[in-house]
Amino acid sequence: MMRPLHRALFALLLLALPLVALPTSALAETVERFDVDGIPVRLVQNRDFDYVALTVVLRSGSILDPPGQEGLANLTAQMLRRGAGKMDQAGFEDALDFLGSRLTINVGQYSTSISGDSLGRNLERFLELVSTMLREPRFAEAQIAKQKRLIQAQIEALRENDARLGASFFQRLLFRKHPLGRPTTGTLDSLPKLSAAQIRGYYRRAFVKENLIVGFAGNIDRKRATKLVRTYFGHLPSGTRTRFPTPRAKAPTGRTILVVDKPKRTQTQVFIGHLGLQAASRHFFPLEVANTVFGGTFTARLIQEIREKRGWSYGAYSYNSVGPELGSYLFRFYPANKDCIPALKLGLQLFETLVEKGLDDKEIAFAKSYIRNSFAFRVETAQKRLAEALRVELLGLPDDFLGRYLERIQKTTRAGINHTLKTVLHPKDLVIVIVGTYATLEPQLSKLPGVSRILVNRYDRRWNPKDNAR
Amino acid sequence: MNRELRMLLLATLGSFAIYLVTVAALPTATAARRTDPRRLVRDVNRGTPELAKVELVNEHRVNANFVVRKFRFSNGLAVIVAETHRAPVFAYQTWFRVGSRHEKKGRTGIAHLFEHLLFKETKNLKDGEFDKIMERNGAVTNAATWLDWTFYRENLPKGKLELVARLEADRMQNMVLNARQLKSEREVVKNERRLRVDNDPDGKLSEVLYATTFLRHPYGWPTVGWMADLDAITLEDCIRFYRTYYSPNNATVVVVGDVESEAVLKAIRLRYGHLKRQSIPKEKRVVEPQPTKERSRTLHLALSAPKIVIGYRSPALGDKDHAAVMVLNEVLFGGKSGRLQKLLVQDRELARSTQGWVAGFRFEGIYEMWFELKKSTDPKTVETLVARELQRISSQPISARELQKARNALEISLTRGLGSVGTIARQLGHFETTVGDYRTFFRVVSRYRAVTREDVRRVAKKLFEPRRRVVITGLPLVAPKPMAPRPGGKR
Repeated sequence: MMRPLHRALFALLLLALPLVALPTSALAETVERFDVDGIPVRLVQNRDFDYVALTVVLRSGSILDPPGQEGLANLTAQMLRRGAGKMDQAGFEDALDFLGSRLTINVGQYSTSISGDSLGRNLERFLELVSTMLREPRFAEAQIAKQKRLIQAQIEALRENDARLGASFFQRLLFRKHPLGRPTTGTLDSLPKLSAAQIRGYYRRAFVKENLIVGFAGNIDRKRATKLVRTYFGHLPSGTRTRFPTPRAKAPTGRTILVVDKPKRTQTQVFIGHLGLQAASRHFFPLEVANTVFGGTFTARLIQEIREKRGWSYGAYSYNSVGPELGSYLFRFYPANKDCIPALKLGLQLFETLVEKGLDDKEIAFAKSYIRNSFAFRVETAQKRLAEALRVELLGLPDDFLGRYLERIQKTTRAGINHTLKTVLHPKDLVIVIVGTYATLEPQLSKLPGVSRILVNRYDRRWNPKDNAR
Repeated sequence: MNRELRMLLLATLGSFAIYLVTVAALPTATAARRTDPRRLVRDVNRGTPELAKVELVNEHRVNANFVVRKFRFSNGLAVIVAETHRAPVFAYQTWFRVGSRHEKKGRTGIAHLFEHLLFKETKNLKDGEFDKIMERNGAVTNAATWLDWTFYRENLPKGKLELVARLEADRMQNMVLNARQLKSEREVVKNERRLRVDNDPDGKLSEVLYATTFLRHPYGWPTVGWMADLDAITLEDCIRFYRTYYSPNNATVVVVGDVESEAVLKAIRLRYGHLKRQSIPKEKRVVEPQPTKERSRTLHLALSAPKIVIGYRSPALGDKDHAAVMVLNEVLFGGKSGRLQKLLVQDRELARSTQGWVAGFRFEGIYEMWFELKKSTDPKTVETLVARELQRISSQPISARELQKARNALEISLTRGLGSVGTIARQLGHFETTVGDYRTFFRVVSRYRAVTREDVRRVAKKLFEPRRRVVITGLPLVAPKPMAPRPGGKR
């Protein structure tokens, strides 16, 4: 059984996009950036073993799904491996598995990532499959119907996992009608309506050379990478690079609680937060330091007060998630039913104190020391360095963002950090999602301070939160 | 350990082996350390009291650039060192030969609860100081307990060897346990149990699978412990557990990364050399009787659709047939073209996912098969189809293409997640602690390559006897209503 620290570290990895001073700077600089026929390529060589990891990223994601067509980007991307060129679905999968390669397709709000790997000796055959999938997907009606049914089953299965269920409801409640609030997978209502014509249309718009970034990590040099990109991705059709919509999001006012009512729970999942930063925000680095102190490590305030002193939750962490346009600030824990309301009260109080009183010099020095010393683990392997480079690219950050990360952390000051806390964190205006059994929580919920609204949504029903008035 | 962690372990199982197999043929930036180990031992032992002397146990020279060495100090502490200088980091892990199988009925969960307590106070460090010092120095720390072992791990930036050796040696001998810490940590662990088992259908199904398979053997109880036992554990139990199992002669320290072997041995000699060996109780072997008929259980859980978990008793990690079962599993569940995956998910659409996992334990474990069904699927239909396929693979050899495909998949799976010093150290520690020799790990690739089509048929026939089958079925609490969209309905 592992302590949950790795989750916080993972979040930091996602958000921090670092790189540094010696000795890790030498590793950071091993990311090679070049273009091949207009396609940006990121390469990290590691010749220790005959293995190559590939990541093909398209600047296109679910934020482009038109209203009523939620899930279109994801369905289109997943269809790529359901038959391409001369291969039907079974033939494609058999060919892929024969190489021993793994392939995953992940659709985010702003990107579609196709990640896989191959032994170096099989790389050409592997890339041929990926290339065929990208250039010649069949989009056969029968396979579309199968993929829809599979995604529908996956959506329904979301309700089996309380943490994932809570995260999903939190996202929807936080962003409401903003496109970021829509599930990437689509909904049980939108999926059946998606047509082959819509899929083909989206494919033509999104899967163009102008949206492509190709990344390699492993036993491959620049010359070979150049040749392979030209051969296998150079023939993707040209089009127009995606322009993402930038609608404004409405920040929540007051404290809104949504209980995702699930029977017979002995434990709750609590998510608390509000809208967050754009990646390029000047508040990013001060908030990184502050978040480390509040809930970013195992010695942070949240876990010390909630887990270590009181034993109320196995984990208690906070996350500073940034996006190209908008992000979220979130903290969460998972107490037993009896401890849910006390833990929530304490969590809110800690958040208020963080903003009101800020950090002291000792805490700031500790956080900077932690970030500086642990930084090596973010660039330890070739695949980690590639992932960081691609995130920088997708977030629209400058190339030297990684190289100057520690320098900019180091430059943050107590005054600047505490100013950021008062500017970007809003303890009075929060979205709070609790997955739990409503009947056990109801008597205490209204006693929480500053609550303006309490909503309830059955865990196995569609998104339709209702006021708890009975 | 939950299913997710098991899959992670599987994904990285033997990951370093392929690195070691292939590295010799490629240029590498890693500088070779060609120190003569006997001279190294002589240098370290010079002027050292008898109790703190070290000896070379073995050396596994994979190639000129990568050498793994095992040493043992006079007090019984084993140390495995592998230098790799690809990044300025290193992993330091302490593996204890105690897991949940060493517990007693009525006190299940104590190995894991104690793992939590070891992050608390020592005679030299106040409560919480261990984590503070580690984090200030950039360490990533954690620990894990499973059936056969407990291990504590730190990934650190270069140059922190002295620090981590001092702190780990301190908590091996100087723990201060009190009622306040036990009370708080007991609640944390109960919450962990709620998270991983009581409120997680997969955790519950897994727990019941093991309890139904192993009626006598301690593998049958959960590592996290039964809730009533967690409440029953006393401070005296914890102190006794510490004094019994946490000693140098029951531990292996594994150090991998940007370190010098001599510095490692000197740091460990300085910090652990004076510790005295303890008498470790001889393990009472419990032999699980062979089942005489199939066992099954049905649970009603918060599921959207039925799930089936089928378990068959599978060979121990050190068993000569383990590799053949791994190949068998690839043929059935590998990728999206594995036989059962293709049949149930792609062709018949009866399931949304299938997964197979072969245990790698000290003793006989379970070959787990997980089937997440579509909501309209009758579990009996899937049971019948699976039984038919298992019968087929037990009676007819797999094709040559299937064998090659499985070998390829297993070979590449060994490289995934590689690179990280923590992963390498975990493999060395896992094999050393589970089968008694880290070098077994290096034989994994050759064992996969040696598996024949007939081997796969033979192990399938042996494993898949109906009387050895355990079937756990999870059904939704209430029959799910059709979720087809309503015309004009809300999202």
